[in-house]
Amino acid sequence: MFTPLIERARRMWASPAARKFRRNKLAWVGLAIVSAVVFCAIFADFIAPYDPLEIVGPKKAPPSRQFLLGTDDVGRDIFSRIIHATRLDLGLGLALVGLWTAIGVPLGLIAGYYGGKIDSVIMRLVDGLYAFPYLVFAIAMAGILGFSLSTIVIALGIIGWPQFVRVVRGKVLAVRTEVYVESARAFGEKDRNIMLRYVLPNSLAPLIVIMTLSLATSLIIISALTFLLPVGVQTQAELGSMLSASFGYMRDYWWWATSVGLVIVVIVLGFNFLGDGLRDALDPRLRY
Amino acid sequence: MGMARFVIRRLIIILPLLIVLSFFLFLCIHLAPGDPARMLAGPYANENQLELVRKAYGLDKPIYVQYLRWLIGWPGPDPQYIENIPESYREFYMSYIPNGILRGDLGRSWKCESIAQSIKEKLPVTLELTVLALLIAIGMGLLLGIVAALKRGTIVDYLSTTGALFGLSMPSYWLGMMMMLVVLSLFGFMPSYEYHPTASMLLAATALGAFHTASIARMTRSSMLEVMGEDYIRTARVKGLSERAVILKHGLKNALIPIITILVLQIPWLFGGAVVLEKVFSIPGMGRLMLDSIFPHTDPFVVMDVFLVLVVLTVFANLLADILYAYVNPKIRYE
Repeated sequence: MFTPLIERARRMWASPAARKFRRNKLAWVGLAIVSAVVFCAIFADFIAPYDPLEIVGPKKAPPSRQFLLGTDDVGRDIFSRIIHATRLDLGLGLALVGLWTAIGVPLGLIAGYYGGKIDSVIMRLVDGLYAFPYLVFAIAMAGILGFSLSTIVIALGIIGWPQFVRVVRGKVLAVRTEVYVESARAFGEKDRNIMLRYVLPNSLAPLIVIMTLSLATSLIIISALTFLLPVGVQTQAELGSMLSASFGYMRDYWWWATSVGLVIVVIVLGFNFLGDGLRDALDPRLRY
Repeated sequence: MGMARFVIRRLIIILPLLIVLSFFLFLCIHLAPGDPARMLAGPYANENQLELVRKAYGLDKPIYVQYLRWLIGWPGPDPQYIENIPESYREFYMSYIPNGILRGDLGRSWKCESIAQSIKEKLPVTLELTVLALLIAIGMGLLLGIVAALKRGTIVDYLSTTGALFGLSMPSYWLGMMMMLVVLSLFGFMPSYEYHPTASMLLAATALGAFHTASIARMTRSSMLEVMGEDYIRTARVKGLSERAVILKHGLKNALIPIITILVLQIPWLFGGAVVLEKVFSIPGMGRLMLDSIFPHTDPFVVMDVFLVLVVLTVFANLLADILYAYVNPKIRYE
């Protein structure tokens, strides 16, 4: 039962794109970081030595063997909080990229496939939304809807998708006149089927690339917003709000802000390396 | 000449774009769950007081009437409502209520400040920050990118490419915090908790520009590498032009096109980043105004005003970039 799958994986491994990816050292570094982050996120409960929300030591203790990165202003273990925060932040980032994909891909398919008026309406919308500073929009919406992580993700989700439309539409325009699409149409396939079965699979490569790269940016935006707004400081472990808590004590407890920020940098760097590697292998001419 | 017509055509497109964007913004704020009257009156207001606020701000009217009143101040407040206010308070009461952005009547915040006045004070600060950041980003980015492309494969190239990757992956506010720590250890003072017009501004602009520096440097490098292999560069060299003229006049000018494209996409980011860095460096700009308008409770009108100002800025910045783009790339004018 698994033979076709294994066969397919073997063929993928031998493909020119995979060979290009395998030779790219930075891509491997990215893959390693991303795997480590995902591992931390999944097994946070086993890796973290302490409960992330529990007070386990003195306040603002320096790094020691007992508390690897010290403790925060109420005495919670910073290392454990970071480990648990990767789970929350990765989840938020995935949710955000999921929203962008769910909105952007259908619009890009429709715009590229039908063309004409629908296309120009959608692209006008895209151009308009490019002028929306969406970090500020998320702050505004959080002010209106209340400060919570879900508000932030939804606010960013409903306006951050234009680049997905652009990428998918570009790819659709390129394959729309291919023979296999024309023949599917000649055989009387429904538009929806043609889009999903013939056109979408072709835009998968650039889609994977921008999903990876925008996961990196979404982590930065989300942490910036949780840094600014009081969301879940006490009840959750989240990297941005941890930085926000450390900000006032930076002068005397530098390791706190430094370590939390470095973790963000490394995670984002991992996704950027992976995304760049995927782009070089799959779609070198994609500009993002 | 095509250029003037191009600019005029762009300007004509902008007006409907701004109307649509402002209406979209208005809808987002007013259709979101959460009663604007409740936000204005505060959590302890009773039903009667809410009703009064609705009357005063015109929140009982249909949404498009509210939008028109917010934007152009027409139709204005109910004459009957105005008559009910005692004469001596009338002007003071009405000064709280926004009545037409285009007429400059933005009302007052819960702190009694005139919103128009606050924006007038804080906008230049944010503009200074963003323009400074952009200048730093363009200067540093072009320099690093060109050097990396010309010294391809050397340690300089390696360092600038790696630096760019880090710059792209760093939250700008954290970079600002780290720069503060460095300044603290070098000079023994911290330009954070207090606003220092030169030190805070320079540090904040550098941190804000870091991401853009990195992406411009990357783009410049790849674009220069592509362009420098073209035939016209070889022709320019054969013609006997100095290497400097070849690089700047023929290489860079053609490499600029994708760089400007990427710059346009990043302008909205610049304002978002400015809000965060203003918080980090205690800079009294639009970001401060934005955060003040949602803490401790939200004033929906101030939120919309501040946001609209940023959107207008972004749109005009995009227009400028478009013009620059057309200037660098003559092909686009004939499309």
